[in-house]
Amino acid sequence: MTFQINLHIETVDHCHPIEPTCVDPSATVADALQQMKQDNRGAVLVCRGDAVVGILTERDALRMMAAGDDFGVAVEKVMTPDPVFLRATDKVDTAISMMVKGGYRRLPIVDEKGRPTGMLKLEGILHYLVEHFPSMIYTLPPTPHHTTKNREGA
Amino acid sequence: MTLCPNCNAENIEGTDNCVDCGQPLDDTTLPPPKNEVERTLLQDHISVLAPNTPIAVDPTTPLGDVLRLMVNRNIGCVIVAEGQQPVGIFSERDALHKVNTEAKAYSDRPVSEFMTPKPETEVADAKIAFAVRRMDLGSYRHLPIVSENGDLVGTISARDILRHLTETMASESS
Repeated sequence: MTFQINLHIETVDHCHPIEPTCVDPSATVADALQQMKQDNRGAVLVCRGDAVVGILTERDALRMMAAGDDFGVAVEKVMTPDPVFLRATDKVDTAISMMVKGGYRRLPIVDEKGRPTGMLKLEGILHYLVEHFPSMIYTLPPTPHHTTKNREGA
Repeated sequence: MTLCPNCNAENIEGTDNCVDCGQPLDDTTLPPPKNEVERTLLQDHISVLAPNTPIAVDPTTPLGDVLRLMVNRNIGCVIVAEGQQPVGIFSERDALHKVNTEAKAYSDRPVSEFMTPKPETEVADAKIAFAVRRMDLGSYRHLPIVSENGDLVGTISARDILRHLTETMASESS
């Protein structure tokens, strides 16, 4: 079986999207951060009913930490509303360009009804790259300069 | 002279294996890159990603200062260095997991209490594929780039790699 990187053919679900974590718009930021820590996520989606209305990321959290803000405010006050999203049918190269252009590290995958079905992370794309040329990456020596200083032998 | 595809050592024409790293010099063991994206990952060095000037802080720097530095400079991580040697890395992930809502209370404590110690590093003339693999294995988003004697010379992020790939894809389709 031959692997080839087909960034413009394969869809984003090949890049290991993870289960989205959602919080209610009225939840406090403290609760949302606790949820992120617990689920080991860098962001939570803010959902009203089934539909995504915003996103709260670790960057927002960092900004609040640096400013010494109160974490008791509602998520909807500090979230980024109407985040940029992907459809499950979008191709890998689209996702990469969106991430690079917008400076996003993760993109929610949303269906036609606005319901989140996954979260695509930058790490998932790196893993996709590693998987798709295993013969090249897995046979690399353990360090780039894996050298012996002296020749062996008589 | 033939340059080793693996470590760039110079070899005498006609040699089978690199005198330096022992890897085969003919590429028959490896499938040739099928497109520009594969080629750049395997053959270009990390230096083409133009590693950012590292933003390094002393281990004793108060956490509050580090958090503000990250926000003001718009960066996702700082390198904690003693002199030129990286001893740790403090990223947004560390902030979320170790500081969380306690930012105010911890603001005067030194960053060394919250950093991830002994970060994995990479040398600037390694191939991009090495950085990709190292980031993937450890699920890191940043790698400090060091010189041969371990001095900090830069940082690269997973996003730098993706940016380079988009530029590569654009040049290929045009």
